[in-house]
Amino acid sequence: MARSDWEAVIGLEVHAQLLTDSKIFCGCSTAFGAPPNSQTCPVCLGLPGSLPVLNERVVEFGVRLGLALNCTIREHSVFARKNYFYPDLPKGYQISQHELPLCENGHLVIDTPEGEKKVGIIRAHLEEDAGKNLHDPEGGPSRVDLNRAGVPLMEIVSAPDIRSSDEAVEYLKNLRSILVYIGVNDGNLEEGSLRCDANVSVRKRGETGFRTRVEIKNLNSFRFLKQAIDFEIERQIRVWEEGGQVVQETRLFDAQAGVTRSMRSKEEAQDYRYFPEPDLPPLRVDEALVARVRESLPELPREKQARFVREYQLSAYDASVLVADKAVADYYEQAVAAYGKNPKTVANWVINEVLRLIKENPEGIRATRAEPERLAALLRLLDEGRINAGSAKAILEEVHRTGEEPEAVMRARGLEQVSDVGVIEEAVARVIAANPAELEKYRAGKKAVFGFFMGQVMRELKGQGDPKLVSEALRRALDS
Amino acid sequence: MNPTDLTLRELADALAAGELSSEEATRACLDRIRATDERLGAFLHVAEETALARARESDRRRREGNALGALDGVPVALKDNISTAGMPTTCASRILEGYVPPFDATVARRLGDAGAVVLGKVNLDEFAMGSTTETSAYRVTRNPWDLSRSPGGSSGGSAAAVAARQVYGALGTDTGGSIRQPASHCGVVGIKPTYGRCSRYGVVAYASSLDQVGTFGRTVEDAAILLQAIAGHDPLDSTSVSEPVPDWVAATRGASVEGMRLGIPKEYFVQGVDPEVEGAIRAAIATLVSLGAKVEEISLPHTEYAIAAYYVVAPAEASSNLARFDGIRYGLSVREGGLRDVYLKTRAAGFGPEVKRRILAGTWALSSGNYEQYSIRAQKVRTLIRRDFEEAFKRVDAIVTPVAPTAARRLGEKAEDPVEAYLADVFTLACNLAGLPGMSVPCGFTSKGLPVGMQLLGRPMDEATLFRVGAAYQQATDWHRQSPPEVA
Amino acid sequence: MELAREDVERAARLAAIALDEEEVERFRRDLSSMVTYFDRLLSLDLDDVPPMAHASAGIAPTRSDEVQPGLPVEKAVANAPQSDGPFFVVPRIIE
Repeated sequence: MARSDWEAVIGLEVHAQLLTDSKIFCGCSTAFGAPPNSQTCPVCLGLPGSLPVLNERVVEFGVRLGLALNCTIREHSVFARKNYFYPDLPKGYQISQHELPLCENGHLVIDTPEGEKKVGIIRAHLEEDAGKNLHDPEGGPSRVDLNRAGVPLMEIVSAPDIRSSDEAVEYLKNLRSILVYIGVNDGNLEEGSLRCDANVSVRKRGETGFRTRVEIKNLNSFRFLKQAIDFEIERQIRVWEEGGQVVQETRLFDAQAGVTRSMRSKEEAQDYRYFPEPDLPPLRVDEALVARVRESLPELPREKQARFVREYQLSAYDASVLVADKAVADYYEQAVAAYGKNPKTVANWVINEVLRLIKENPEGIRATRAEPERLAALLRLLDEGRINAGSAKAILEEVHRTGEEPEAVMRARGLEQVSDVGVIEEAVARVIAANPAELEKYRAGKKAVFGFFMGQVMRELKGQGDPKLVSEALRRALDS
Repeated sequence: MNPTDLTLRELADALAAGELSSEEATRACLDRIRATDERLGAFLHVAEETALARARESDRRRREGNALGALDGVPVALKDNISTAGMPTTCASRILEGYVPPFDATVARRLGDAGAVVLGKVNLDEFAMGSTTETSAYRVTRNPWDLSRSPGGSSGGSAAAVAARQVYGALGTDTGGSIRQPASHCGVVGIKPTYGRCSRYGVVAYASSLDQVGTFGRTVEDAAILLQAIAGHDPLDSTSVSEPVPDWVAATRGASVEGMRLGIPKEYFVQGVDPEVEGAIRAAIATLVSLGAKVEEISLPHTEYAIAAYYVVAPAEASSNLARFDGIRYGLSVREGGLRDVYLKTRAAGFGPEVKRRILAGTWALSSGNYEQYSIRAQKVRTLIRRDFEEAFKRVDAIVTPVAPTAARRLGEKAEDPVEAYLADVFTLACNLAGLPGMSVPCGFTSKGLPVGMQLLGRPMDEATLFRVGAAYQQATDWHRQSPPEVA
Repeated sequence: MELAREDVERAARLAAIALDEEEVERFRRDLSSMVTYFDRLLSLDLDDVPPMAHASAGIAPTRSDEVQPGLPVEKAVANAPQSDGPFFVVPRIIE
């Protein structure tokens, strides 16, 4: 049976750390990288008698996220205990939301080759993070650091609407972009402040039910997400086609080998014995709070994309590249304002040049010293014919590093364009005199040789001749 | 006269008048503990040095004219499931042997802020699970009125210490009657306020939605003075209520029941109640009537489901609350084998049989399949029980019942079947399920000389009425002035 | 309802308490007796009754998002049965 007879059914569970100063149920700091167990108190250590008190900003962030994902915000949501034993779980239970989560029934729109697609959000709920177990590579005892225990998380569960690894990546990129836009998460997959698990199953095209799904953990980059899902889809198709059964299990993605591996199967299915957390009454989110948060919600990536297409006449693709990172979108708009015209040109420069310069830089657009005003100044030099495109790129690179004014760089490096017609005509004459054979061919009707002469003249002018003037002078000389 | 003969109020007055110093009172209590506690077994930890230091600080404040109030310099004891910074807190369990909390429970801190002198920590049933104090892993506490009998429980140490004049008052906790029942069995006053009145922060949880801290005193006023000091909103406990605390001590002064409507639930006067106990309660009701109260029969129809609902809900919460005792961050740890063995063996060695039984029952009740069938149903029954009370309180201001079907039981007289033992909690559980305030007031003795207590139940947040009824009753009676002969 | 030994063993596994044979049997008897008693809850018609998971009708209060001082590391690990500097120590966790 062919691969194309099968389709994948994928749902993502994303854990996003909320950017609060203090933990969800106590006043301990959430700062990353502090010395072990230095950010703990009786509550997050699970000392006997300690009790949780909810952080108000966690609620606000939860509502913000819910609204950004088009969810219904539940007026009364309930915290529950999820019971299991693990050294990084100090109380022997995790406080989470189970039956009545804060946010439900939302969706997120992604772009696919077939057009826009709505991926459902089943729920998004608040919970506390666990601590960290450190394993001794030499096989010795493990150590426990509870600094992270109690850091606020939002778990966002998508519907099984995703059909390919590309869609999964697109979903996660869009979700991350929204999280960062609304200021609730820093979008850092590598450091784990954004974590993704994937539920993957496959079925024959035309089947309406679901087959057994597998949960894949540890997908801490877009690349891993794609690789893991692709591997898992192929693996499951092979299992079914060979007459086997896919086992419901949790698998871990091994990034080095590029495969998913079954985690040690537990003796029996876990029974988390959820029940309402008696130490926390139900959480009430009233309409006033929802309205206030809705009011404060910034323009979201897709709204911004639509506006860029409308307002700046950009292609949907260019707009999507610019809005993916809010800082880039802001940079772009500032550059357009500074330049005052031709937003399409600005978009090309930002996408093709500025983004290239900051690629791989964790600071993103903040890393460049080529501020929007400098980019605009550079484009004006280009418009005025004082530099050509090639020089402009070289100047931008230096402005990006040094933060100097483009004009100063142009002068210092002698990159000002040659626009003196006399100088250009002299160069043209020299080139024609030196290439009689090519001149012969041109005059015989081989007009393509024009390009050769163009290149020679530009070389003669050290690449700084105004292409328009050079072309005109050359044409005059050759056709005379 | 021995200072320990005084009530808390009398001591406060003597301290204020300069007739006695806190150090003298504290030394008198410590002497009495030394003289009696080998037989009584109330204390798990006596903090002699810190208590004397605190007493001297109190005396200094008083000399300098900075006395803090009625409790300044008054020796008290805390049930050992209330966290005390720098003082062991064991919950009478092996699993917390050696554990010293780095923080004070809010109620302990408030007592300290009021100047009270904490003499130490007193015995309880392990993790407050039991009604005889016999499940303590450390020692047996005896009833001061008959040393062959149990003081009741789970706050048996608190009740016995107050009854035996070792301290002037004590804090306890009440999840299903654990203050009211030992108060009744030891002939002292015990009040469990409305759920949320006192902070649970730092109080080691048994069943979080039922647990409540309360106080013991020799008189209703003494219990009120203590409760006044510890009650009130605490931002560290999300279930703590923000309503202001009325002046309960004032409510006990010149209290009257004139015109008050008291309900007598017919479901609480049934077969199985010891005739002597019933007689004492009936006589107490007659006294209240003679003081001007009006009595009417009421019905609390879902009473018969209270025990079942309680013994589903409380163990379920307990099974989760006690998961933190895993041998990793504090307490006992059996380090043999791998990680899973640490859990299994630590908890096997650290918990006693009653605690294990409740953890297992609670785990079972929360397991998939049983949760809907039992836990949810039990929670629904709670709603019905609460509604029963709401209906009743439309007609009456307070409810009067027995605290327990019998007076104190003999030590070791243990039911083979746990359900048989749990049935004795029948009159006290509903109060916790509904979150109401309840009080036990001494109202007589059996022919064997064992104290009997009357239970008063009130509307949510209406402890004041209980204090009024109790104080009016004590103005007219002298049961609370009797001293236990056995530890004299 | 009579419970099976497996019911008790399963609960003990979830609760992480090692039981010997005798305890399994004793708790099986005890829990059976309790559950049999609980069965009276099954006779009530509770369809329209809301469950009461909290003793008061309150809603969760919130605190402002401000960092408060916690415990110094030495105090955090002071009660630990086994520690290594600032860490709690447990037998090797096999993943």
